[in-house]
Amino acid sequence: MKNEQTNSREGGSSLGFLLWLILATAVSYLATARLDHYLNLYITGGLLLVMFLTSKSPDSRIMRVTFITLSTFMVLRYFTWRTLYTLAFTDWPSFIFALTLYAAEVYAVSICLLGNFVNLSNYERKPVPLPAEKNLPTVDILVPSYNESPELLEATLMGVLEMRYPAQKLRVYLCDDGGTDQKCESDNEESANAAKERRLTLQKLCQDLGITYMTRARNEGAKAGNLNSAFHQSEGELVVIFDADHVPTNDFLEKTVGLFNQDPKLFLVQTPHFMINPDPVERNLDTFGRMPSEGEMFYRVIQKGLDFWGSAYFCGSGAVMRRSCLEVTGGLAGETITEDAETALTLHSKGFHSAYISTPMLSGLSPETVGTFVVQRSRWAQGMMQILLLKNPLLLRGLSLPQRLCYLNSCIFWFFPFARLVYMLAPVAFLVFGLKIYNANGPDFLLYGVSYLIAVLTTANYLYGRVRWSFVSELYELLQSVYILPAVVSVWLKPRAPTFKVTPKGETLDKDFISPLVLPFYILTVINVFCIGAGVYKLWHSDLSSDRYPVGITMFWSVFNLLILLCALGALMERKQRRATPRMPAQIPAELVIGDVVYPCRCVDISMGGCALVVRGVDQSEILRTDRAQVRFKAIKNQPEVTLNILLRSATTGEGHGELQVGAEFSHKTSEERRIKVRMAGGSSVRWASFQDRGGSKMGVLGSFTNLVGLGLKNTAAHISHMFR
Amino acid sequence: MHLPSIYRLSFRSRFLRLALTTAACYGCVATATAADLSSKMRSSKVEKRSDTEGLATPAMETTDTNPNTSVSAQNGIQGRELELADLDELLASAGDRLDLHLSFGKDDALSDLEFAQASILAQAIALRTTKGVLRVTYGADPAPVYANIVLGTYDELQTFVPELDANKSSPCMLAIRRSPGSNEGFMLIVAGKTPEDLTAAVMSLALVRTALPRIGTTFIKEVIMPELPEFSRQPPLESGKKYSFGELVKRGMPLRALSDGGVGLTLFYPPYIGLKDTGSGSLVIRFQAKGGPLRGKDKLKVVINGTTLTATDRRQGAGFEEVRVSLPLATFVAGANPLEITLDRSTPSATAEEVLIYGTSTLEMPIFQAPAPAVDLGLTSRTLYPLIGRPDGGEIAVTLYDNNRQTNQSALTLLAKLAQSSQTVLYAADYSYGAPVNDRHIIAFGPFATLPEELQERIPMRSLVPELDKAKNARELYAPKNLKWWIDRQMPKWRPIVAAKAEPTQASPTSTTPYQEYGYLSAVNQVKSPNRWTLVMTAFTPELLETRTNQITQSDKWKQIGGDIVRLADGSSPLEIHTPSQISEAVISNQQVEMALGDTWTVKEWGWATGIALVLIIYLTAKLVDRRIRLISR
Repeated sequence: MKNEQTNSREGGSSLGFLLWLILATAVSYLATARLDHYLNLYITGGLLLVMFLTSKSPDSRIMRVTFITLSTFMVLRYFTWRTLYTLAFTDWPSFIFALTLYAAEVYAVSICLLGNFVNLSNYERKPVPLPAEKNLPTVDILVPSYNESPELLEATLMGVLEMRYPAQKLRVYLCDDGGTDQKCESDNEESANAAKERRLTLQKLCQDLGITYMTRARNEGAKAGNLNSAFHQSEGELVVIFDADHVPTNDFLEKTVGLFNQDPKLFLVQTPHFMINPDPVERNLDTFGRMPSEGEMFYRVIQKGLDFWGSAYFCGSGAVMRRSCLEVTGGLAGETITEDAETALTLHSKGFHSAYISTPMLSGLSPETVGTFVVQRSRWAQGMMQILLLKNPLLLRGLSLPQRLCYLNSCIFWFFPFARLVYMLAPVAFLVFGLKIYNANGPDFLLYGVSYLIAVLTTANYLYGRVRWSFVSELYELLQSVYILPAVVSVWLKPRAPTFKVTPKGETLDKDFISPLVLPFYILTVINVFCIGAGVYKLWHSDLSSDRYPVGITMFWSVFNLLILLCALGALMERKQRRATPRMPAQIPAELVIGDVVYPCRCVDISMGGCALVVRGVDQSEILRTDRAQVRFKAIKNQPEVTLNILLRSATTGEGHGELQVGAEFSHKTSEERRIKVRMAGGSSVRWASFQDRGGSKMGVLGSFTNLVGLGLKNTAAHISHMFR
Repeated sequence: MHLPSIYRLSFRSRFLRLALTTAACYGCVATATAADLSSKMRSSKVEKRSDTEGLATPAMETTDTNPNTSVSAQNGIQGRELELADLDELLASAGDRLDLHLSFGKDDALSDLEFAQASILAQAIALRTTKGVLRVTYGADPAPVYANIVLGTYDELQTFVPELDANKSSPCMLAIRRSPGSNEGFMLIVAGKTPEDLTAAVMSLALVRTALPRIGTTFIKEVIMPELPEFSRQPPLESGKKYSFGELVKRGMPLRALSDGGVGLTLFYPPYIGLKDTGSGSLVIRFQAKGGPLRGKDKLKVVINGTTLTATDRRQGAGFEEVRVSLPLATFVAGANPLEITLDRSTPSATAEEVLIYGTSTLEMPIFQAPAPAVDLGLTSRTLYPLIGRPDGGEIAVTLYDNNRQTNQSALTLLAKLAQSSQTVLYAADYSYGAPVNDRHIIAFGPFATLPEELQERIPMRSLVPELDKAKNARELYAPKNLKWWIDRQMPKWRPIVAAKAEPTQASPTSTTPYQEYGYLSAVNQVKSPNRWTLVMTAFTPELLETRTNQITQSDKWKQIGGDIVRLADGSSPLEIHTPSQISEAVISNQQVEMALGDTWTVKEWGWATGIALVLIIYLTAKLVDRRIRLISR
């Protein structure tokens, strides 16, 4: 009976899907209708109005599906018109550029449609409580390292040790690739000595912490090789991987391990990468904490969508994996330089499942400079291109159709440099060289093109508005495009050739400077300014009314490009970083103890280096009598009361009446204190979640654009002023 | 390009008592030094042009067996030198179709002046023939067709007329010869000392409506342009408006004296089709009869379009009499409506009795409306109304948006046909390439892609059902050969061809001919000047434009022209005509929606299908999502 029910359910599912496919084909064909202007206006306006009303209605499944369906319909209408009516041959140069622009739009439309598919549901998986202790699996924590500082590693390892899990079921391994035999025996004496010193230092650290130090003979296979080496030497049923700078919260295992009990075919539970320092753009534009971080779009929305379709993939850190599944593939895959996604793809193709818990349960560090940011993204781009070329998710056996589409989405996303640069340069082709790159009259472009843009912006705002303000994607993509495009092209030319570059972390910027990557952006800025000038000239001198529409529209496009470029120039002005260890907001009740006097206070921000305390009813002079003090954090939930030694560094008037904000630096005397510090600074997933929500209010399209333009202009002025210093 | 200013008409304004007919009589003074020239012509040979070949001395004694020239043989044209007076007879002998070829010494692009000269010549010739089929072509050299016109300066044409001498005092000349190497046809030579003189020669042919001189070559001393009344604009009567006769005359209403002493005037009713004909206006005529006030059964007779109107009221004032007459709209026709006011005495007098109509007489129009301001192309094709107010075409700008041979030839052919139909030569029109002067009616030609955007929007290439608004159906791409065009071309190969109907019909929504194959003729009001009209002939390519123009101007098709838009798929297809009576709110739902593969649905069908499909897919998607969530959550 159960089999019959299952078969019947599966048959019904297939029939339902078939019916859906027929309807989708019908809707796609209906979207090809060429309407006259008046009718088009009514239909387009009506659809946009329904989309708008749907987006404002309370979030429900049917509303979300309605919105996404209408958005898809609008995109299909535009794409059909664009394909059938706007590509015409007038001369070879125009045709070649028209096809190039069309290819960029095919990319954009594909990403839109795949994005709509991925985000069809805002399903959020809930953690599963841990089983009884006796049924808990053994867990091996692997922390790979290459050149990170011992202080950084200590914080991460302490954070690992703070995780709540039976100690007897937990083994922690520091996998050091910076102290391998190969490195220690290097012909370069200085490098060899440094490697040996590193090995000794880290061995002592591990000993002090009671964890296992691992290294290997040779540096082969980069990070994947390092982890595989450790993998084969460890035995835990579950394997957790944390990057060297990823400090887990103390509830990490509580929220992830339980899922493995539920599903025997589960090979992965991935969690988000939450960054506690601003990325270069956030720092240089001073938007950290006020605007959602760049990674939030992926970790708070897209991965949830991938999880809905059973395609959440391994992101290299902050993940728990089942050993028995990894053994099927012999450990982590290593054919591409993004071994994480490749491993997930392979295991998905073998019928294993993945899951994603969206609570931020680790804190990491973003690249410090635009340069290191671009290096990191280049690796990801190349790796995903390799996956597309060498693994081909569309053809890989064992994947379901939704999984194929999800991986395809993740891979082709990295064609954005091509599209972004084409959009940057398309106005030149028309305004300066007079190439016919887009054959459409003004009314048609308004009714099809502009309505498509409105639909796309509305969709982006609906799906990602809380995690990515409008036009921020354009800024980030532009910053990366110039340098990532050659990397992507190189992969296409030699798929097996790209090498893996480590992303340096923990750099300190001790002064302002203009990023060395800025030159192409100057060139693009000049080009777009010239375009605008050419457009003005054309409008002034053209006596053909038919010219006004295309010239006007292209000029508007160029102006938009210029505004994004100004933001990019602002972001390329590298700002001094005042703190090596970033402070994150907190609301922890505490006491400030100075000598015998105890002042009730609350800790309003804390980092690995220090904290800020808000004290009420105290005179500034009293606080600054001495620089030595203690901060006693009150017991909360599972956390006992703890005390840390501090040095008082500043006291300024607080925001509230009678409040004093005291800046303090941790002054550790014992490793236990350091561990407490790690626990307080990085142990709470609730704190990370509330920080995300703080910056996650929707700005709306216009508000976001205005904000970005303001930031761009302000920071470009600073950039220019720095140039002439 | 205007003709040189001396050839533009200068008008003196006339008031109430001016009587002229709308058909102008022209006079032309020509001095011929005919006798000695004629004798020289009879014995001279035509030498070859240096850049041509095949021209031979016209044979003086030939045996003509062509039955089409039997009349001329009977009349004695055969066997003697041609004379200019033979022109009409020669044109009549042309057979069913008149091929007119103009030689400029140019093959392709023309200047504004050259086109103007060519067009006026073609119109002048067309006026003299009743042939149902006219084809006008041009080229560098004469062509082996029935009628050739060779234009040029004296120097350029000396090979044709050896006695041409630039030292001659006469500035221009006309001559006629037999077609070189043929007993059929003729070559008309139009020459001037200078290009301006050439224009004078052209004008002379255009202006002379009576018989030309009985002479083979005539030299023209001077061309004096006729005086014509000033018809300024002549906008049609407007709905619900009241006019005094004085205002009407100022607007250009022609007045004429009738032979029986009465007064004739012409009211111009809007050229729109589908005008409602219910309702009545009123005429209040204030007059004074020369023979004294009306008595007893005397009445003032008012006749419009042959219908006698009934007086509803009569009174006498101080020094005038007043009659109120009901003016039913049903008596009006689009365009010109002659109205005659005469005295009808119970005792007729021996001589005509004059009646004086006061300018304070009034005409009040009722409310009438057309479904859309759509011009009756049938009226325009027959009379050129509403483009013609001045009989010389002085309110018209002919503009071509493309300067190649096919477009030029299509324009020449259509203008000739229009001239023939309306018996009007547009010698005072402005002829230009792409730059029509402001504030004129426009006759426009050009492949669709070259037309200005505001015209492109008004030509419904996809269907003949225009919308309510000025923005018509979505127009086509700037350039052909897009993907959709290619798909459309493939589709007919895979579909059964719908049999064409024999009768002119409304636009067939199931027509399988790609819209790019059609030629279109339409008249639209100008957006910036609503009282000005643009008559446009267009097709997708210059070749099609010429082909379709030639087909539309054939008399069988020409007579079918009506509606506000006309299109033709090919010569064997019927003319497709649209009338605006279909325009209403309901029409939107009957409009056609074209799909990617070329099939068309009505808007209703598409709307319902899309709505249902979207609702179903949303429902099904939500269900599938629900199922997926249950699966994950298990």
